[in-house]
Amino acid sequence: MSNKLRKEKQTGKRIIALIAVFVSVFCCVFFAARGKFNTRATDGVSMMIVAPFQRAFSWVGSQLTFIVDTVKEISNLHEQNKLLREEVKILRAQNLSAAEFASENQRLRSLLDYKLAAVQFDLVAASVIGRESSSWSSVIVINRGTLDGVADNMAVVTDLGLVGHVTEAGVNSSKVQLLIDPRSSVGTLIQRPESRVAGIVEGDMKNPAHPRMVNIPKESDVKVDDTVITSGFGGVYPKGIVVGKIIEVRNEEGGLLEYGVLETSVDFQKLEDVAVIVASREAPPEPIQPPAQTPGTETDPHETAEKLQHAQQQIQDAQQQVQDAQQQQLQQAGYVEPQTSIAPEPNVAEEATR
Amino acid sequence: MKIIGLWALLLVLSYSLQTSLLTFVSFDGFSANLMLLLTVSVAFLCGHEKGVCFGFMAGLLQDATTGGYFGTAIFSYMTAGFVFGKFSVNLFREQSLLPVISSIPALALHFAITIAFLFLLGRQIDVIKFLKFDFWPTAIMQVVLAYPVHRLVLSLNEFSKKDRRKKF
Repeated sequence: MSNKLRKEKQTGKRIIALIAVFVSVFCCVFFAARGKFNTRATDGVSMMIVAPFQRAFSWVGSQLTFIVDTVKEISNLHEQNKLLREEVKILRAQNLSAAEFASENQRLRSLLDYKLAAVQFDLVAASVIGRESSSWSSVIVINRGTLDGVADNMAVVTDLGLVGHVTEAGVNSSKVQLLIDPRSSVGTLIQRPESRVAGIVEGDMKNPAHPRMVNIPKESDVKVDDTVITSGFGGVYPKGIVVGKIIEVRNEEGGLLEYGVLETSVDFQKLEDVAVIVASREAPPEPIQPPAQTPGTETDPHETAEKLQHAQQQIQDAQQQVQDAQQQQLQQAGYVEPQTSIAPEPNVAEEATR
Repeated sequence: MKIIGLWALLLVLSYSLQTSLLTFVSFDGFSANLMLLLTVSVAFLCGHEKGVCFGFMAGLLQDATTGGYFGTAIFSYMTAGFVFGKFSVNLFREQSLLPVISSIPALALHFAITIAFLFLLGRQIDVIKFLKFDFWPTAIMQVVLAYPVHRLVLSLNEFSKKDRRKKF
């Protein structure tokens, strides 16, 4: 009986102790929240005990994370590599087409510049869509025909110079006989003002890359590096289109004539875009340029003109004043009757001026 | 003394694990509360008095190191130890499923006490958001870790009993 009582007493004490602990902790929360209860010592000790373990576990965690990340990364790399390969393929294709477009852009820009510069010509831009090249013929096919205004015997050029002429104009395409074709003959002359020797440029079957300028009289003023331009004779090719330059002068077999070997200004192997001259007219005269002035004494023509005008005005004013004064003197002397008009007589004024 | 040291080591190691390694495997930003799991397991195996005692130590460690308001974790774990310790008399102690199932009500109790304290201290908390985003991720982690923690506590408890028998 006493044991039971003792147990009950102990249980009661324990319950009271528990309640006391609970209440204390409950109160602690509010005291701590209001800053009236400080646990710095406990915190320090706890941190000191826990910190080494936390550090160790953190290290393990970071290593595990690193391993997991590495594995994930490796698994992703394969897929990424696959995608990148695909991307590289696409980008390479794009790069090629971009380079192609850039090249085309550059060519067309050059052609456009030429079109703007050659105001005497009406040009139709065309692309080379076919090519036939052998030792006996050099013909290209362009993508412009009669629908675009192209007709037979029209000259074909690039910004660099003469290409050839249209031999057969179709509805939407045309055949162009190149300058280097053996059947081609172009009336030309040497551009150098002292020379102006005329000749005919024709294709050379033996050396298709270098046409010849023939029919040049011996001892003519034709030199290496002379530029050859079209002469305009014959009516097919307008005058002044660059054909090429002389790289060699040789004697003809007969001995009376000589011929020049030409390096064409147009690279016929790289011919992609050309322009057909559908109409030509005489070039407008060049604007008159003022002559070169001596250094240190340069004058602005407009400024000089203004000064001259101003000086002329001053002279006129002075003349008027002198005339007025003379008129007054003459009136005072009684030689002349006073006039209502102020303007003097022209002959008197002239004399006064003199 | 050796047994107390072992329990203390378990407590420190578990807490270190909870605050370091488990954060790397957190679920939606929330990791398991090993202190609560340990308290519940100890309470189931050793009764409410030891449960309260263990809860006090666990809460003290947590409050002293990373706790927000000193005493909230102590009170919460003590309550959990007391409540679940009361069941230890009527249940088969080595039943492993029970602590796993109890981990969710234990967590609910812990969160309820924490929220109550926060309300009493004048903090505004969106309870629905709290339940939606905080409670369930933690509860999933608790369920996953409840069994291994209980087995660990069970082993240590058996070891303690054997050691005590040897002494006497």
